[in-house]
Amino acid sequence: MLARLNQLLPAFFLIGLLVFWELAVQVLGIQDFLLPSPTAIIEKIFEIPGRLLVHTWATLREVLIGFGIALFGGVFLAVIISHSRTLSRTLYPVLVITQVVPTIAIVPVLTIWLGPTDTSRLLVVFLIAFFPIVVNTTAGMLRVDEELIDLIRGLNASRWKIFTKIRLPNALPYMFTGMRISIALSVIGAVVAEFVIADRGLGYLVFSATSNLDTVLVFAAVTLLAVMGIVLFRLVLLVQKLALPWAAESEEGEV
Amino acid sequence: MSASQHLVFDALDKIYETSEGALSALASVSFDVARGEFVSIIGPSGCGKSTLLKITLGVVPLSGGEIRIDGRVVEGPQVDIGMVFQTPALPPWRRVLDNVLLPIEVLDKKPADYKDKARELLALVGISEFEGSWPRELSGGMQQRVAICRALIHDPGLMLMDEPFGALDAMTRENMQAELMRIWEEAHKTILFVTHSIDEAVLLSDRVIVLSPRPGRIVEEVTIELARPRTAATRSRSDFQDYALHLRQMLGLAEQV
Repeated sequence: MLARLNQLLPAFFLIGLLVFWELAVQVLGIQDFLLPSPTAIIEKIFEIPGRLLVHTWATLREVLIGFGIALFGGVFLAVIISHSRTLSRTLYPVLVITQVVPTIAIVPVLTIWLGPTDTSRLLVVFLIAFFPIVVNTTAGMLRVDEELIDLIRGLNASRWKIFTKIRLPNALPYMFTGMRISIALSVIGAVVAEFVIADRGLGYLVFSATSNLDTVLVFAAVTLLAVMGIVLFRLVLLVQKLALPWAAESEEGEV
Repeated sequence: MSASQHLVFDALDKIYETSEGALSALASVSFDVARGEFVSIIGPSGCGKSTLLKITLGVVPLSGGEIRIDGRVVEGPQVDIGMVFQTPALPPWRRVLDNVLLPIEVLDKKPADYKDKARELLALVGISEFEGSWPRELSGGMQQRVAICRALIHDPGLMLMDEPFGALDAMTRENMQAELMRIWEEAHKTILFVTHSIDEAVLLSDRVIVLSPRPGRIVEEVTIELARPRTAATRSRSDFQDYALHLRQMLGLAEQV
């Protein structure tokens, strides 16, 4: 009973928050361009579904492709970093620099270099999303049971064999942890890119609607972004559960 | 070559280079192990017991002296050895049967050819019904049984066991000791066994080697002449207790309450 209540509590809280928001807007008579009510936002979404779908698809496409590149690039970098101390010492500072420099600040420069193209947008998504995958996957490749490594080395295993039989599978749960952070960052990356270099997408919509003071549309786009983020996050969790049935189940995060 | 010279440790030295200078872990350690003999090594923490096993396995280089197996000087990894650590060290992504077959894959042999053998080993330690389980679904004792099966799958002549029962509760530990004696008698392996437990060393071993605190030197070798098969009842025999007391004295523990 209590456990069930615990499960439902987040949902109750969220609904309570929405009801409070709705009531506050109605009772205080707040105007739409300041803060639209939840029902006004939902109405907006169903008012222009076709147009929103086009923008949602544009963003989703960037998120998925960018995330895919971040995943492959991130794992590739993790393999290189975990393979050699020299390479890791050389590469890591550069990777950290890409993270401490606010990507949003260099987006205009990327536009100058690459033009207002898909490439620039995907590059922004990649730059924002790849780091957690690199860091987590590298940790997973290095954080192996030392005794297991000794045991395998005692059987005269090559480095390649230690990598494929131990390090790589050991890194999988860590990689998924990175992916969970990275998928959320990919959505942010796509929106940031669309603020600057796009003529479609939910980020573009937020940007243009804001300059038109169409706050309802801004919130409609933000709502769709939130839904997209949550669905993608849960999808990563689901894939992890199916792909790694051996991993302990207590590890998963909840949304 | 006499029977007592299956495995020879000849003036073994191990020095670790640390940031605070050279640290001597083992100092001129010499002893022989006969084929099929069960030899335990006991000594205080940090006396280099585990280092000795890792050197024998061939994954830690030695600083001086040599190890010979059947007269051949050991260099690098020794494939004909089964290793069991204190932690089961089972990769969690492999089911029990696949965990037992791991050495076969590493040795580039066909796992399919060894499935029956793996099942026999699991039956030997009484966990046949768990061959399809994930390691996390098993208790600590059962995981350690899997680790023992894994050490035996490629039929090595020598087994190295580094405090294999150290992490188990007292009852599981006694069960495992009995099982190990049974396996040892059936499989005719040579076993080099590191332990902290004096009673365990006396119960299991043909011979106990006592190492001093760092750097580890051999203080004494005690041959345990208790009749086999040994059982739980062996522990209450007076000669068992005499051996245990003697070893406690060797380790400087006798005067402590």
